[in-house]
Amino acid sequence: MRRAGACAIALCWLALAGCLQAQESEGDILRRAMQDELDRSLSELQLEGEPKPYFISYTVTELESHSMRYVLGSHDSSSTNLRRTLFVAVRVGNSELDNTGFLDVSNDQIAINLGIIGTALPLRDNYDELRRVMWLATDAAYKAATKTYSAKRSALENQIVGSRTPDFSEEEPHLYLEESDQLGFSLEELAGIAREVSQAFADQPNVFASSAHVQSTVSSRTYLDTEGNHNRLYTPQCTVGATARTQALDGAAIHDSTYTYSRSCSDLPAIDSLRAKAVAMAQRLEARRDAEPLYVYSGPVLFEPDAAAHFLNQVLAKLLGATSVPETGNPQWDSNLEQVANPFVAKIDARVFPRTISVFNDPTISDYQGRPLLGSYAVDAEGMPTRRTELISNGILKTLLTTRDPVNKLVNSTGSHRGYGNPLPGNLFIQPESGLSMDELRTELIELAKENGSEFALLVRKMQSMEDFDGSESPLDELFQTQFAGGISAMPAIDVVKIYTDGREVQVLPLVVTDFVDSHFRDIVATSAETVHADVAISPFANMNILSLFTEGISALHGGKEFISIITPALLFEDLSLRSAVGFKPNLPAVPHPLAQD
Amino acid sequence: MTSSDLHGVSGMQHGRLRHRDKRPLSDISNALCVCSLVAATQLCADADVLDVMQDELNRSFKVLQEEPTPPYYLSYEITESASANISASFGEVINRGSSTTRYIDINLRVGDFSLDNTHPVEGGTVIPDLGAYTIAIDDVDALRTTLWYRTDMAFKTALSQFTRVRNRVQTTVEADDKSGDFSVVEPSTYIEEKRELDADMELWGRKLQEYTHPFATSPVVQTNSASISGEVETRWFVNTDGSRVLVSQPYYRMVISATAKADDGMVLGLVRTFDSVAPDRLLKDEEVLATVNTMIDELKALREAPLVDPYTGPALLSGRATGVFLHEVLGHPLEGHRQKSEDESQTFRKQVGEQLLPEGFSVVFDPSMEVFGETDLIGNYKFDNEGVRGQRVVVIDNGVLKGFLMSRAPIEGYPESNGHGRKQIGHAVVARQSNLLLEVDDPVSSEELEAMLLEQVEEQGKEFGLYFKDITGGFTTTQRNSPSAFNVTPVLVYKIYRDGSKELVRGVNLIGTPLATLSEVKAGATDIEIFNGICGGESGSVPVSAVAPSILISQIEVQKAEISRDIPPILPSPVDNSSAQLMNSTGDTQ
Repeated sequence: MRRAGACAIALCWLALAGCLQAQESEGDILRRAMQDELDRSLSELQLEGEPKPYFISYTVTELESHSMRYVLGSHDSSSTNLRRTLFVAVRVGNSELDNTGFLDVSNDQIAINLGIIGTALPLRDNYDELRRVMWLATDAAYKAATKTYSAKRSALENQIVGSRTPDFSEEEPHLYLEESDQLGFSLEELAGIAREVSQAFADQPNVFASSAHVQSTVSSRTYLDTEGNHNRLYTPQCTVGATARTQALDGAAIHDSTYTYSRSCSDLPAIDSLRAKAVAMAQRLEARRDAEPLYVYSGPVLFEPDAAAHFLNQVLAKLLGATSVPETGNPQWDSNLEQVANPFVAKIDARVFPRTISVFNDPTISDYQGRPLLGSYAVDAEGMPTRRTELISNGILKTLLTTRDPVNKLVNSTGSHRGYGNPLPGNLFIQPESGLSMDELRTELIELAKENGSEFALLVRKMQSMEDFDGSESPLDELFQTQFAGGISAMPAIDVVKIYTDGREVQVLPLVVTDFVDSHFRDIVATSAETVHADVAISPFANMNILSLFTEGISALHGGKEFISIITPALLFEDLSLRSAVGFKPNLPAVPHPLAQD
Repeated sequence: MTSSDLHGVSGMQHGRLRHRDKRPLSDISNALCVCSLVAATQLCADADVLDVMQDELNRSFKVLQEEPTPPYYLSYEITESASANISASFGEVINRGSSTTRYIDINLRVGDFSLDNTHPVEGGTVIPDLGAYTIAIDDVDALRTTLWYRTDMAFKTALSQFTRVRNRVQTTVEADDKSGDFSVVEPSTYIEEKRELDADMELWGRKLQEYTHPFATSPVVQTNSASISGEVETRWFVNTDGSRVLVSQPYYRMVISATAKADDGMVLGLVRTFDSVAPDRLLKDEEVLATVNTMIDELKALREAPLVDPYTGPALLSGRATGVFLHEVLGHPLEGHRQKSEDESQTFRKQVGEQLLPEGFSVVFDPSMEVFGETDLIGNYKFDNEGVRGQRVVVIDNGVLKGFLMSRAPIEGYPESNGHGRKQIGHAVVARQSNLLLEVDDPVSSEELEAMLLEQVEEQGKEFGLYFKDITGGFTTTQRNSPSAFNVTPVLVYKIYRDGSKELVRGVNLIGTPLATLSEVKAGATDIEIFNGICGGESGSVPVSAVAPSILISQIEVQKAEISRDIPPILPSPVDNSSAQLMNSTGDTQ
């Protein structure tokens, strides 16, 4: 990660002013415009009979993106965009009771928040025009805040409120400024990568459709609030993706994908390596064509480390963030919302994992085993510094990740606001006390199958990537399958094999885990000694708590992609339920593939 | 429901293909340095996109004839969209972007011309959209592979649709309209030069800064934006009839909008659009700046303008307003597929031969007309999305309804397409409008038309008549499950009192039912105006134009428009508008 020129200091108001003056250079006009309009709004913005704001923050994101897609070495599509966006957050009332964490159900209807609405800012630092946009956006945000605050006070007015958790945490102001670097690559080079990777499928007539794409983004985020928090981050990101689709011999549509991420496209692996990865993926897909169906299964399941990382991202990451249940003032609604609350909030100091496993989050670690961790970051979307947090110790849940919205006794931020509604980890380490080799784990899996009187158990090698939803052909079928699976939903396992008790392996068609609940984590009976690191792009589908959708919406405070790096061993669950994720099975193509015919 | 959102499109290079490149990466990298991404087709050689499309179409069609339910028709349409856009507000650029994408649309039909998988069934769409899929065309293998894969998907979808259609036909009473599902047309062959996008983003950015700067100096303008977008849409079309068409059409548009807020909370918005086939014809500084200054003056006046109550009585529509009005009231109901679908109200189905407008009034749709006066008409095209040449269609002749806008979906008495089968990428074709022209045999002068309005005011005992100077857009409901009605949104409306004095008013929408309102049209003037806009409908958004003079309608109805109750900003603007200065490209003020 580029951290050149960064300074991270907790300091008081006066010291902050001095530091900012010393830092004035690039972006100074933007910061000055932000500061001036923040100051004016904090002191003067008030509707008659309504409270003034007690907190205002501005987040300015600038995003430059380039993407290109190739099919079999031929250009398919490309785009480039540059935009700058302002997000405003206004709180009225006070930190004990303000306009946040409330859901207005006064009309017996639930209004799903569509998210923080960004406002376009000038690309250049024109002080007057920056001020003009900030003025109007702050005015609109303040009016909305007073409306919610009034509704919240009205809803809570006739209730006996016990010891309420405050609505906003008290934190020390924090300053963190990064300088940008020049990126060392050209669009022609990116096109060359996409073109070359896409040719990995050229000699694969059993791959019906394929593509490769490269996306490069450079995002900057400038944050300033009325408490003196100020930070500026630069985040270059590069993604190389390849996807392939075909049909199994019984007609089931199957696909696979592979993604390689780096901080910058200049940090990508060699092109031969990227192409080899795509070739390997195509070969795996080919091998899965004669997979057999498995309609339902209940029993032991072993997730290989990479599959475990993607599975944990989808079923565990959002449970590790403390999300409060929004207040409504309506007992029936409160009860309904409790049903979808994060179960981990009520399980602090309880056992949630096997005693042999500990879990911690540490976004300050920049690399693991020589590879950069893309989940690392210094300051969160609320300007809070991040830090190591011991989440689960010997199976006992010790605490949860937090933003500045306190939840029960968790009153201070862990710097975990990733731009989405609920707190999320950055670098999540799953640490077993001890572990087995993969061969030993496989033996253990077979033993569990035998104990159950079953002929086989399941080994999951790969989970469907949420990243596929960014492609031109979203696998919506798969998403629908997960929504009807019950419990905490996860995308289908796309590379799954039956391991028979005699050691035979038989590939099966995609399966989806059903009725997964948090107590299943306690059924992890063994892990591997080896851990792997997987970077997973944050996705609202996988990582957002539904309560956050109600109160925060799908926000977009981040510019480009945000990642969670998960470092995990292979996981052996004693008992999971899965069912087929295959929908209808169309006939195989009546017309031969044009390349096969040649 | 159909909605029409009307607010206000180079070297011979037929998409030549290259064969697979076997060179080492280092050479490939060098080659890429020569050709820009946008112009990736320049890497091509040897074959022709249309030839490869035709070969693959023939191959698939031939093999599929062996299937139990074979296709009887297959077409491929590849659309390349090369686009660029840039936006600015108050003298500053706020975003810019560009893209080049090629899409494939496949029309595969099983059954036969009389009954096929696209047969409209009650409660269903005319033809379900197949989605927009990208396709790479620079390489023979890539192109053939994608065509093959998408054809297979289209075939399976068509089989599924046809099963449903046959069931619905057997289980429902016979439809009123007994025409078939697809018409026979003569194959077309037409190949024109592929055009290149002419997008000078630096120039566009400077111009937009200049054009939007005056808004920054006005204390009444609350929000403002202006954008320039350019697109070259190139379409390669082949079908099993033998048609081979390559058309390439540039389209450039500048949209300038601004809002102010009245003291009662009403948001007052104005939009001006400039459309052309060449970007330099958009950038007429004097004309654009005059428009901007007029918009500012109009916003000032609108803030002071009184609200108007619901009203019935006589009204004048300017040429632009008439164009939008006819597009909604007449154009949409005359789209062919609406006469056939059992879900549609079929307002004009039985009106052929009837007098809908006064004698001397004719309405023509003519996609072949490229310009009117000095203004480009963006509803112009040579071939529609079914490969049929766009034809001039007289739908109303001397006030009498003569026919409909037709795609290849026939209706009783109208078995042939007249080249109005249109769609946006990824949508199924239906009949859509092109360039609408209202022709009046004995037009009067504007002054005479206003005098006729005042006569109507007098006759009807009204205090005033209304003058609709500008309209931003509107919509029409055409289905049976809702009233057959239109609602258009005026932005500049004047009361014209008996003494001829005019007063700007605000806060009304023009509403009514098509047949009743058309019967009240009394006269037209000589002052022809042009409206270019984007029309949204079942087959997506398509560019359309309307050319019309001012008209007098003896009876219209207006209802109150929706109004925001939000108060104006609490704090004054932090910007001293009087001293706002335009920054040049280096950030200095000038």
